[in-house]
Amino acid sequence: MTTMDLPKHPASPDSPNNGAHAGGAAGAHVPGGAAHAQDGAAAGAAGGAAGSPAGRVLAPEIPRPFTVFEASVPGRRGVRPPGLQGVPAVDPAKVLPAHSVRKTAAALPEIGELDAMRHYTRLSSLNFSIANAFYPLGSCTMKYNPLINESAAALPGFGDLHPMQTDDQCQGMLELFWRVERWLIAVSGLPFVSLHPAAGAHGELTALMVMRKYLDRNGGRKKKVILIPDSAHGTNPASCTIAGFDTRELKSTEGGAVDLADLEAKIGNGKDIAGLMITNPSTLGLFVKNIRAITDRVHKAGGLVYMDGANMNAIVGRTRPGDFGVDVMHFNLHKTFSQPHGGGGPGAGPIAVSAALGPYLPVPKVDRKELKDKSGKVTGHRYFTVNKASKSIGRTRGFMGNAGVMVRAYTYMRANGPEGLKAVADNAVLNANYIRARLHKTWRVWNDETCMHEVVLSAKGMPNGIRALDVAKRLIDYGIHPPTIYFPLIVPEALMIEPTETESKETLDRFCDVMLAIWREAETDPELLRTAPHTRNIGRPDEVRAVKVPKVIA
Amino acid sequence: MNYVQNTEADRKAMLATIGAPSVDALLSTIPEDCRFHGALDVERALTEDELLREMRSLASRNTGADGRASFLGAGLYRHFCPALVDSLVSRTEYWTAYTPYQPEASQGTLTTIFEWQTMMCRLTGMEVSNASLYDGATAVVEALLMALRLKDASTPTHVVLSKGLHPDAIGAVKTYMGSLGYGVIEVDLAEGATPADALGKAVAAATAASKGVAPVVAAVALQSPNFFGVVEDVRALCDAAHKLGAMAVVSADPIALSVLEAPGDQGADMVCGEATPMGNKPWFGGPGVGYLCAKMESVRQMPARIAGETVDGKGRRAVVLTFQTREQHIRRAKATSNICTSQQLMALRATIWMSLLGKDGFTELGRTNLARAHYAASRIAVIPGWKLTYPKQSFFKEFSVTGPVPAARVNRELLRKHDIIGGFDVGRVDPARPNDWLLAVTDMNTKDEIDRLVLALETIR
Repeated sequence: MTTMDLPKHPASPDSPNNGAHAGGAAGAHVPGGAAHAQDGAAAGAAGGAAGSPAGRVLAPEIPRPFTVFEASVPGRRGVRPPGLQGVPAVDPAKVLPAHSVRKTAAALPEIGELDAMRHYTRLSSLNFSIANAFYPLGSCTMKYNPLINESAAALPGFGDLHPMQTDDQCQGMLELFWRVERWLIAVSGLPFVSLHPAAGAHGELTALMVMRKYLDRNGGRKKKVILIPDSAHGTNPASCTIAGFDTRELKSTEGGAVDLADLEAKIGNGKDIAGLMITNPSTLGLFVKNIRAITDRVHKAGGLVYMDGANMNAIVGRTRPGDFGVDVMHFNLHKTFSQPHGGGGPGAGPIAVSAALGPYLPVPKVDRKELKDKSGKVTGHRYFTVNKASKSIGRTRGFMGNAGVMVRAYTYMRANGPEGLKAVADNAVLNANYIRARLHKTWRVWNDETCMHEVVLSAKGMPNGIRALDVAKRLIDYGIHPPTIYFPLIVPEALMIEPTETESKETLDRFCDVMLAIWREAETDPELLRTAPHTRNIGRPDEVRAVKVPKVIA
Repeated sequence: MNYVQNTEADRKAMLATIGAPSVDALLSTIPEDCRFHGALDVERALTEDELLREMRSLASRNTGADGRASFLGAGLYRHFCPALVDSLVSRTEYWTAYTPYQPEASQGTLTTIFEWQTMMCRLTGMEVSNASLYDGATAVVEALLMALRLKDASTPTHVVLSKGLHPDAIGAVKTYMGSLGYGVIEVDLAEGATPADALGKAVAAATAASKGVAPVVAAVALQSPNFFGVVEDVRALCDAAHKLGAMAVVSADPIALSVLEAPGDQGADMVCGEATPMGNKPWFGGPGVGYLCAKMESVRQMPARIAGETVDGKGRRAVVLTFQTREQHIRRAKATSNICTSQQLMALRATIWMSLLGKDGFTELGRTNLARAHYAASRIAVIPGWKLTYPKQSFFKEFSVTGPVPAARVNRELLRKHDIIGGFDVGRVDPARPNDWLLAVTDMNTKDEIDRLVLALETIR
């Protein structure tokens, strides 16, 4: 059964499905109409107790094992691993030094296959996911994760390929890497790309190391300061620290742009300025209009401009960072290029850099040369890895990139083509502005002007002192994942909403209806919001206790 | 093709609500001198059927280990994986979910993180684990950065690395340390192993080289079994590290801990490594999953996410992300690490893999590996011209042999004539040892495959 079969509970986050094969259930909201709280309430029965309107408990909660360890029974067996199969047994004590032999077996679970299946299936039902709920998480670009990507990734020849195999055995994968690089070059307008970084923050760090080495080699040893607007993602300053830079904060203007006077003051004589990290469009969902003036000023001080590409979804094909003065940027393939988030990873954070920074990228790199027949006609290409480059920063990880993510990003880009990629930005911007237009008479839009891919609301001043957190938790009751809250830091009680291009008008309408309903609830029944969510297997957990009485293992 | 659902009529209606004449008008917040009006230089869109054909064509130009014998390990190993792992992890509720920052909407993922942390601590003999790291190489880096933070008061200047660490881990450590301005002291191997007394000697040599200024060592990192398959004397090395006033960081293949003593019970202060082989494919090197475990007293210096158990307002048990004040989204420049994304889906595969094998199955799997590898080693060691490179050392599932001809040639002939992917050519990392060949023999290598390999090697001269 998929969520499609449940018209009465359109947004049920708990509806079971059959894994990847039921992926068609994505966007399973039934069109139109205001939602009723009981939709969500009825949906939340998994793991919790369902109450009747009269308050009588119809199905009392009888606990199930909380973790797999509590489901364990001594001596119970799961799957049989491969046995000796004709090879003589070896006593560890005979071939290993006595003190190196494990004395007590690790207390892994003891559970049968069926119970393990039920345990992990039940746990999955406690998750919101793209397949069963709208996920308007600002800055996270929770778009549809196409199933064709998964089919491609499952093809024999990809997953079982070993990175230590020789180049001639990996021609398909190396070509795929080479082509993903070319496409990211096209989208960024910057001439060199490295696919190494495992995530966005890893891309930032790799880029900062590239910047450090470039500056060191070009008379910029004393340049230690990276300027960062106060609206930036937390990874930006954290990456600077790990890369050995100091950070200096820039004030944002009301509109979220960089204050040029403040920039001038913070640059000073420019001697210590290594560069600037800027997110464009900004975390307020606005294109930084004075971006050229900013990049020019940083360049004048001998600094480099880094662009956090978290919000690339808003501008793909409509503007290229290389064209407005960016020297280096990262992509989040798990945002813009549809790699699923996986409950927290994996991702990939390739970086694109200018010609000057190209030689400093990590090794190994992928390159190719033409194959020619006797007449000199090009018949194809041979792809190869380059393991040494004199100026390279070296290695930043094992092997050379998250290939599984590259396969999905490749499939996605190839499905879209040049026109499809432009439609991504257009519809992401259209959808965000539609939400803004539908909500702005009731809700406070922080900057009520045309936005890019996301719109930032402020819950400050809501009726009865309702906070952003209350709104977020109440959305869960309606089967909608909360937006990003309390970020960017410069907006009080922020609710950062990014619908992405893949959502339908009907889903956006239902979301707006829910948001308006929540506003009315704030006026009439604020307690309902302060105690939300009411429909999940747990209510708001005690996070202070988790730190004061830490229990990090079973 | 693209995945946009808006129809032309939708767009019109939405623009009317917004009060904008066109989508292009919305985009006019991008200054004209920044706009891109050209066509993106990417190939035309393909329909789903065309796309699958193209992906098949690319995949077919890889010579992977599917349906083929492979003895290549060198940090990433193939192991048995129960069918149920694929089935459970293909549930969209897992793979399309976001990071579990909203606990009421994420108890599934959070509980599996809590289980993963528990299992990793039980394998390694430690007290706290994080939710995962990018890979084994960056796990070593993060452990060392953590040690540097823990030793902050004594202003550490160096880290010490055994040359038995994976070469990629050594490479990554050098890049990170170079960027931060810390020194790296490398310790040579003798007979394939790290001699415990070599740590002190290497530090003394570094002192002499810097005119008597003794380095302040934050940590010593080693790997067991090491890159060459050799089981190190972890206890002696941890003791030697502590004598230097340094923390002991041990990188370990978690599957080897089925048979080998937990590093935490041998003096390790931190245990880390590559957990990919538990339920994950090699994937050309990524996405994999790194792990990092430590003592509870160090928890506030751990990088990346940690899940912890608590209760809700009604006393119901719940799991949340905890100690978040360590993390970048709260602490910004003062965070313990810049890491945000984890390798959650890979860690989930490993978690379910460990649950399904279970306590006894995991031990049995380890013994199968030990037996298959020792069978292979005993057969190859008696082929004329072949010998074990380190006959005095012990190993788990991977070992080095020295052949009569360069390993690169052996690998070429094996693939061409016998459809076998050979071992790792040590000459790629140590040009002085072109004939050394690192063989990984796991539960995926049947006796028949091993016998075929031996027959093939007998013909290569």
